[in-house]
Amino acid sequence: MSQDSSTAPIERATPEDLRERAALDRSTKLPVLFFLTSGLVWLLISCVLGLLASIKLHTPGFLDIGLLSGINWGRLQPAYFNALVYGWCFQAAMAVGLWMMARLCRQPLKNPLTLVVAGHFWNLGVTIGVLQILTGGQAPGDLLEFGRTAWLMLFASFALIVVWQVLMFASRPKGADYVTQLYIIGACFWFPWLFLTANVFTSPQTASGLHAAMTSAWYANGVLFLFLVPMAVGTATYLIPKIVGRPLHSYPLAIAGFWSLALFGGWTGLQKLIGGPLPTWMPAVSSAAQVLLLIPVLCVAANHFMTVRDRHDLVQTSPTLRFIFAGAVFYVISHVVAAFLALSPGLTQYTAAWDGLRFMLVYSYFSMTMFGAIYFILPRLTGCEWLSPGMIRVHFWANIYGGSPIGVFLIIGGIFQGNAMNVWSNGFGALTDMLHGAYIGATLGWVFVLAANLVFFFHFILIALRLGRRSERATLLTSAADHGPASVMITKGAEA
Amino acid sequence: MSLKSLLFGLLATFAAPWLVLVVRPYSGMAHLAPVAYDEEAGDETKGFFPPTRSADQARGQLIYFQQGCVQCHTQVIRPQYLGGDGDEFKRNWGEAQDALAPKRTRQTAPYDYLGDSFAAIGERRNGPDLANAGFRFSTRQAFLEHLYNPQARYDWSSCPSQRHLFSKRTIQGQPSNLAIKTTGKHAPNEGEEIVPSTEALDLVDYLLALKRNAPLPISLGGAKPTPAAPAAPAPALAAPVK
Repeated sequence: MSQDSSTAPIERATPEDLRERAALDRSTKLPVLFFLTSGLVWLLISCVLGLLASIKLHTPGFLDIGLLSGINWGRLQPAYFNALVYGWCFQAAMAVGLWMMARLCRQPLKNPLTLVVAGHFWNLGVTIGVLQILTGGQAPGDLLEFGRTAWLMLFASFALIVVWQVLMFASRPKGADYVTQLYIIGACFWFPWLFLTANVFTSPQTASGLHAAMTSAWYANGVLFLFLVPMAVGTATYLIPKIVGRPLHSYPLAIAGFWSLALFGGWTGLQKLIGGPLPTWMPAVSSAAQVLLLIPVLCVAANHFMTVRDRHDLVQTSPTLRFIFAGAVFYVISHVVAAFLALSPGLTQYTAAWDGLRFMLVYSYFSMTMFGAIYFILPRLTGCEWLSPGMIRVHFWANIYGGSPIGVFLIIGGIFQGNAMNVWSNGFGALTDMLHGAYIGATLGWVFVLAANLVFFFHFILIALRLGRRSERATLLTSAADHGPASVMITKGAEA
Repeated sequence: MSLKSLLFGLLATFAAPWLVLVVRPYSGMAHLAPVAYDEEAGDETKGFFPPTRSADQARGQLIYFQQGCVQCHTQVIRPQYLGGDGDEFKRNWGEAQDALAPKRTRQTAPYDYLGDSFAAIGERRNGPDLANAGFRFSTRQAFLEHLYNPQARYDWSSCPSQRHLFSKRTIQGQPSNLAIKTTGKHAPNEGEEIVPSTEALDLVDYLLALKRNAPLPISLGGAKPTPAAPAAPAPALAAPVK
């Protein structure tokens, strides 16, 4: 791959380039809007379920009335997390991945309708799965709680969606290469493999109990670190150079970041079962791999930071960069926490810290990055600008003040919980009391997150219905005049 | 980078962990069968290890998964090097176990999950570990009452009521001998009784059978009993101090 090709996405656009990009965007508009809209509906659903689940942790009798009496934390927790991951995260990743792939490969999407049909089946699968969990029919296994009907549907529709990404990549013109494509192809390669393996090895006909539990731990980590993380890293790597208006600091470093993730990612997951009845070397290998995953984090974070270098003032003005910047902070924090949990099983195993980590990774990192991408993509698809910088600011700060503490409370609460578990004289009541505060704090955070996403959904629907601002200038968080020539650069023409 | 070389790279890096962590262990674990205790080798127990699960108990385990009990409860006793003393069983997590439980038990072994379609190792400990839940309650009725109203026993408990697995009905003729005694908000009115469903009964059957006290056969690496120790009874009963 030549250095030239890596700079391709950020060259100053000629009128022909702009026309080509507009044509590419037109071809992806329908499926991208479909996936984003339904993804955001699932995000709202999972926020409601997550809020209810959080309340039930400190007030188990909440909403214990009539027909709802069976919907306890044991059902709400998997329902919320599966809805968040498969409903929102996957659809956001598909939408953003599809859009970036068409742009990077300079290939218009030829069958947008196939993708929309596949998307309908995906949504149907998630709906069936979530309803099954809520009505008391969940299957065992972390992130595998959907029943068989649901997973078969998800697998089939994912395969249909992936085919187009691979075809676009295979038929791209010479020189249209960028590291983001590797991340997308990688994620679309790892996930089906993980998903099929996990579901086959945990299906009651073939499963052997202990092995099924191991496979599910391996899978649950894999979904996070080999699908969500690469999709978000690919997105950030695509958008940061565009907004800053200069090429990636080091292309070889970006490639190194990708291949080190590929090398270590598949080995993680079993550290969760350390001390369990499986061969000792297996969780040990996973722990080591989880720590080694700090290498790609270092590559990516340093590269992104150096690309932005002296232009961190753009975080003030560009909504996209602001969300991606916040995501990047949690990218580093969550990987450090993941390494810490892998190294301190005696303190943190089976505690709330794991839930905190997963929330941080899925929401504070992945979702924030996707929000940033949506702020970038939607004006280009719909031809109008975001209506209100105020709503973007509310969305951002409510997520920062609400979303971040959830992860932090659960991680710190989990460490206290683990510490209390190790004190011999503690009864279980002491442990429950220990977590009470953290869980109440998390509930408060959920209220903020729900509010933030309601505002965002409203804003999104406005622009999707072309009710946004008609302007040549992008909606920025502070006006161009406040920041001089810097912010003029991120007007539509330069950035398109 | 061409699609072919990219796919080759992905295949090479991902197939290794897949084969080593998932596929290879399966071939070793899928065909395990119960092991007979061998008296000649020094085992003092008769029969097979682990004790097999009845059909009711297997159905109960399914309920345990479906209702999400597995989300809050683990079923694993970790070794000494993890979590301080490592022997979670000894702690008074639920006072009742002190009176009934043997003072020592062993760390969980792979064979403990034999015959399960999914090992209920669990995710987190919002509730106490249930590897030895069978020792916490002396009767089925007491366990059913606990499932119906967990806060009656421990007011700090964050365990949700499972009352959707019970039904409230008017007593007709003789009251049911399965009817549970309970007080508080969801107690039965005059002339009513609360009876468990089949699901609740299966679940309690399963939970009462959770006793990891069968000694590990010597052929699987179990410790030889010391000559001074009294002979251990059959694994189905609560074993005394080993």
